[in-house]
Amino acid sequence: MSIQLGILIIYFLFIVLLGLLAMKKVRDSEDLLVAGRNLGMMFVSVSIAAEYMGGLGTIGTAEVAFTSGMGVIWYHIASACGLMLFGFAFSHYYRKYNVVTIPEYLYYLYDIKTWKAASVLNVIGYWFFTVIQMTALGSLVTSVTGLDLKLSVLFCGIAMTLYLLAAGMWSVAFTSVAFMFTIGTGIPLAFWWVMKKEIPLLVSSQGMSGFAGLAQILSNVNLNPEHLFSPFSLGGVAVLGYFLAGFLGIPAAQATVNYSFGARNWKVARLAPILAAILVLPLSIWTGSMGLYARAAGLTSNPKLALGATLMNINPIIGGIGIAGIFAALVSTVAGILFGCASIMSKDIWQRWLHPDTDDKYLARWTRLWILIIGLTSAFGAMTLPKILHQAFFVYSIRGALMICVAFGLWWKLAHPDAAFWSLITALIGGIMYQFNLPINFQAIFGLHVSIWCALISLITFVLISLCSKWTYQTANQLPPMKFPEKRSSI
Amino acid sequence: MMSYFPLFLKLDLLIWGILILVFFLFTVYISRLPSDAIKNCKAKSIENKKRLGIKIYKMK
Repeated sequence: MSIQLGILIIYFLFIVLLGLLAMKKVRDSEDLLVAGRNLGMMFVSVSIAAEYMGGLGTIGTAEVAFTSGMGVIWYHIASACGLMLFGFAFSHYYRKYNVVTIPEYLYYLYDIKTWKAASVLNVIGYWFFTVIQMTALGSLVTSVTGLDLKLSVLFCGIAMTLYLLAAGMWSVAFTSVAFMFTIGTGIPLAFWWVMKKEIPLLVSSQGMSGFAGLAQILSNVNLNPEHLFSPFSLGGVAVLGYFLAGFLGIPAAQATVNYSFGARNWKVARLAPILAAILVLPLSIWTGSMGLYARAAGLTSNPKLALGATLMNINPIIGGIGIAGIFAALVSTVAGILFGCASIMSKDIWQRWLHPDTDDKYLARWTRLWILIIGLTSAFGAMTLPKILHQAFFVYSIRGALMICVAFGLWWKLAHPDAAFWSLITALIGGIMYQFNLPINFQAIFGLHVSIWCALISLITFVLISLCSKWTYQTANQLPPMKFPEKRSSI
Repeated sequence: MMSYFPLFLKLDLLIWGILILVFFLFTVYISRLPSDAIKNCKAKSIENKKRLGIKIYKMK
């Protein structure tokens, strides 16, 4: 057994144990779903940051740096801006309303049909996103252990489901602190080791270390270090895409923002995303530099394996800690989205829509059951649907449409419930048509990214319908089948 | 001659500095607000519901 594998196994066991330890914090469904609305500044900010540093933020940024250079730092700059927007403009509203899910908030802004449409769209979108992230997690485990991809995915899926079952958001919050610590030490430590110790070992670096040595190695393999080190190496369109994804993707993304719902008060909810923005910012410098090193040193020809290859080829203990850091980033994201999906499924669709009489005791059970169902089905999906990977960004389109609904609902006087409903539906249908080029080749005609396309068509739909719709009296049967406990009760 | 301190680090350090400053100032701003400062944040959706004639759901 390699040292890297040993470190990873010990770390994984530690995480599952930590998740199980949170179990005694859970007394009722509110504890399970929003950690009893008692999370402090550290838990909220670290959970948001850890959730956001997923496969795209680690392996993905190394991949982009491998092919196009350090312009990838804009990915986390844009993410930080999105988190700041969420903190400044959205989080305190969510927290003040005491919501558990984003669709629930849409009910307060609009009406029942918007809430139902948003619930269904979110569950579908997040299920696919869980599948994608679980595949990434399985690939990492496969690259370290040499196990079969399907077996790794199944193993990770079961372990993640187990620790989420124990204590829901408390589990996520507890483990996020450990994740953040691992990401914050493992990845920079590996970066430092590569820069100081590995680069001078290569003959072509001429004994230089750090970025000077890296530049030397890059120019020896006929690459232009000045271009690759430039923050503008990706070009404006890619950077604009990152910013749009950050602004549209974060403020209404259940998985990222649900920790704000569990914040102790609205002040914590408002400040924590800004602290999270500071935490996520430097990540792509470390992962991107290691991606460039993989290319310069010729460790792999596959950009997707750039980060993994670097970490497996350095000192095994440092590399093992670095792999544990990437593993932490992936697990925290899968945990967040799986939990977000399960909370919408149990709270919105199951309890309020289908079974409005479910009381608190049963809601806790149903939430756990849905965590189990979604965890296992997405693990199975990841085992059987690996080619779905390249459609990851399609999920962002749904988050973009939700963000448009929330933002207009908050700040535009004419925002109409029909507009919100139809903009969500248009984003879904238009997104599918665009993604799969039905019935014509949209992508060749418009040349837009699918998330930008979806945001654009849902924006147009929203504005047009709002301007054309009349405000009419709605019947009493439009009232939501919702119940709120008057007082917090313990089982 | 290429600088040994890459351009992207300068940019990132600058942005990090700005973010820390923003966080600090925002913390000061938030902590000075009274705890019921956003009490009327529900006003917008309540207004919409009144226009729609939907019964306004009472929240705790």
